[in-house]
Amino acid sequence: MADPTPLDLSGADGPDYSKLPPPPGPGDYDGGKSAGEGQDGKDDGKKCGTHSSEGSPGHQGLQGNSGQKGGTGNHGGDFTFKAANMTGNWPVNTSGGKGGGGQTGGEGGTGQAGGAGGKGSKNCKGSDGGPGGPGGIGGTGGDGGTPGDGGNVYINYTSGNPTFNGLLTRGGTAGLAANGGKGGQGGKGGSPNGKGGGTGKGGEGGKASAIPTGKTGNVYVNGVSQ
Amino acid sequence: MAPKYLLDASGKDAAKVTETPVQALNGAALGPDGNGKDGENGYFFGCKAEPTKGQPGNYGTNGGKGFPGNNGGDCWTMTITIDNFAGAPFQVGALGGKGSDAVGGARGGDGSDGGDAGKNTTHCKTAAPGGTGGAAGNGGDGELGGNGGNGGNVTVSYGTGLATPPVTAETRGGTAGLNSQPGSFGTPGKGGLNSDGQTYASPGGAGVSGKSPTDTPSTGQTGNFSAGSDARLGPNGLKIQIVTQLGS
Repeated sequence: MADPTPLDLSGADGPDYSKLPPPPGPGDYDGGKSAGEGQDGKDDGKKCGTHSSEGSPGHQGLQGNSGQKGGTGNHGGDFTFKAANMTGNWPVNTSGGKGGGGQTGGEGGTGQAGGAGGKGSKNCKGSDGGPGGPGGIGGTGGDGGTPGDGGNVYINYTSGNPTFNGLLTRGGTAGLAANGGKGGQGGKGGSPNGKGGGTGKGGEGGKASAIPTGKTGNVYVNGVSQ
Repeated sequence: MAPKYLLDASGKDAAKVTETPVQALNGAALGPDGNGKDGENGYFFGCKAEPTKGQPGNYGTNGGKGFPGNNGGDCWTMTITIDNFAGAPFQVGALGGKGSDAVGGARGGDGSDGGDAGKNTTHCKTAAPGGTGGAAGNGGDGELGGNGGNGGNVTVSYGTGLATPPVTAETRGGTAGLNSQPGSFGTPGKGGLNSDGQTYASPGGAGVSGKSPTDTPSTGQTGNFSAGSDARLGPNGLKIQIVTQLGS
């Protein structure tokens, strides 16, 4: 009799988000409105009574959206054989599924523009605009998915000379954790002379799975671990 | 084309989601009617009519949330008994169906620009504000992908006259569909020109993007396979039992 056709009892891979683009940005802080304007200077007779003030600094941009975490790989199925005679080659695959990769985090939001400086008057100087807000922190990267374990193999026979070329019982590999998103752009400085905000910090990377590789399935032939 | 499996009890792959989320509407443009009237000097002196304010822009609506993926079908449960099997070994399909991908949330609508205020004149100097811009709409939330269907546990019993079990199988659970992306936010409308002709009213409120799903869909469970001779069957008897795998 011909060799048995392959037995595929492998676990399915977890959903993989590593090839997806990052999620969209979170939105601008307060709709692109500038921070509060500085107070205008006011004369008091022939001198400056109330000095103008700088514009308020812009608010930091919103944090970027987190990336999706990779899906969990599934466990391979178990293979059990119990008969008096066993012949031929048995290419059984009980491998665990791979964990899916995480999605890169989204870019942080743009910082708010600094407020305009207070205007001068005849005897009061005008003030500078406020600095732009720093860009938002990038979104956290998606975690790597947990791998599945390999399935176990239980074989019991009394006669015959079976072979197991192509027997696979290894555990799956974990998905890769994704990078955090880029920091958002800094807000524009207020007019006049306000400094632009700095670029936001990049987001934290996703966490790697605590289980880098799934367990290899056990193989028992006539009760003896192989 | 010959089927891959002589006996196929696999669950169906989920149908692709064809619904589309509710598309956001942009705020309607105001047009000339949204602008204020210019100030009007008196015929001889003074101001006859101060400039009027611009109208606020219209808001963009929120984008609709996406649609979840469909779940893949579980493997079917069945039992087949053959009294006298003769033929080549064959493979049984006992796979779970694949889940389908979710559809993403829609983008938020754009707010329309605020109207310009009427202009000040030499005698009409009361400040009139331009209209604020219309608020941007929020993006719709993303949704969950469909779960993968469960594979089947396959048990093969065969008579002592057969040298080996003439049946093998594929029992893998279905892969899960992907979660969908949230929709991005709309653009706020710009503020209208104030009556001084130099400064602008505030833009519209900001929209925010939709949320991504926090859960992940499940892949289907892979089934087990067991085979063994059974003296209760005839010498060439064959019994195949397929039961949906529900354990973890």
